[in-house]
Amino acid sequence: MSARIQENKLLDIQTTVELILGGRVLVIWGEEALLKSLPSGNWIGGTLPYFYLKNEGGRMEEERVFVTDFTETIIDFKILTLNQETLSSVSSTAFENGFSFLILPAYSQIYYSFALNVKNYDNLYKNPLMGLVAGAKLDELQKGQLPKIFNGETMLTLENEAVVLHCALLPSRVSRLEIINIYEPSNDDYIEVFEDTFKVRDCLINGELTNLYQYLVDKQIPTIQPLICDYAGAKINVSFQLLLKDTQEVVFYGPLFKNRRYFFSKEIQSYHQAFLEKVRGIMDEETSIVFNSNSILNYMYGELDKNDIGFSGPAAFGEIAYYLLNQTFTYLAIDE
Amino acid sequence: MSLTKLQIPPIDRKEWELIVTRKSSFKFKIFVLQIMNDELHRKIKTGELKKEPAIEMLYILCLKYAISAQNDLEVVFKKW
Repeated sequence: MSARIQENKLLDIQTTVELILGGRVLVIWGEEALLKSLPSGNWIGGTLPYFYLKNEGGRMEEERVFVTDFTETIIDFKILTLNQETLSSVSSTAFENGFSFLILPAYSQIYYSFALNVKNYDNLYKNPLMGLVAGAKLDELQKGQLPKIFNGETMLTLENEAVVLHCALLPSRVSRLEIINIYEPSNDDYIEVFEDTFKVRDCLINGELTNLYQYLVDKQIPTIQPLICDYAGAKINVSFQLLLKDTQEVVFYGPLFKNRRYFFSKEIQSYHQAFLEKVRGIMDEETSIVFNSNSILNYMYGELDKNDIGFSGPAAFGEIAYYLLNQTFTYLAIDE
Repeated sequence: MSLTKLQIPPIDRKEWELIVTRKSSFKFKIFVLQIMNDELHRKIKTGELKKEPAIEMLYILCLKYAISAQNDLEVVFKKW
């Protein structure tokens, strides 16, 4: 890899406190109690305990927090808390040249609203809109634990709002948000839905009315790999969340949109190997990468606690690259 | 490479229309250009957007990403 990759890492609380008190501009991930113990400052954050780590394997971390320090990259910043009504202004409130880091709490109303409506937000493509969906330990989520997000300036802990860190860059620099998706569409059967939705009962498969749940069961289709939709060359994943036998419905982690075709993905033997093969050529063309993230599903299915993919970052409950993505590696590159 | 020394093809080149209407099989490699072009094409198809403003929006975004879009643009426009 020839790209210069900013080292984002797990830090102990004392070091993180020193960074905050030093006025650094940070995005911080960790357990709720750890984030609540931090002082106010120029930071945003969210609950997320899973991290993939370069040279040491990933882990679920309970004592340290994962810190990205944007201070040296940017020339100005502002932090905003947004609710469901004001979220559509997220890109309009950004700087003229820079990027915006958005955090949403998983499975909240604002999360669903964002996923379904972001494509209609004003000025969406003006600057990179990147970010992550906060989560929690998987067993705690199942017990009803709600993901939390933090505005470090106000020290507000939020469950159904969004927080954004807008960053400004020198005019000579341009930030560019890219994705690495190792999944490929199978080009066999395709799915179409009747409305924009996270939950599908009946749909069209190759144009024929079909119950998706029954189709998956009958064909014994594994649901650990996502559906894929082509957006003019960009492969956008939508991951399976649940198959509901009682209601014969299938629930997804991201929305399916009407008037689009979703394909099943080709089987992959090793996420880790496939990622390394794909990333090699891409990184040769980049010069500077300041942030990267991956999906909790890639972390689990790809066993990123054991397999090193050459990067360190948070394993999110949804990745934001303008849209809500699933099972996708994202990164922010800087060109100058 | 300096931003100011880079240029993109003039907006009146006919290839811009081929890209936004997807009459060309060309696909950008840059993520934001892919998804924006997809959105513009869909809006043109449904009548939400006319071709001219769509071309202008794509042109402005390509101008922003002039450095990294050079290879993509050379594939379509060859020279300018």
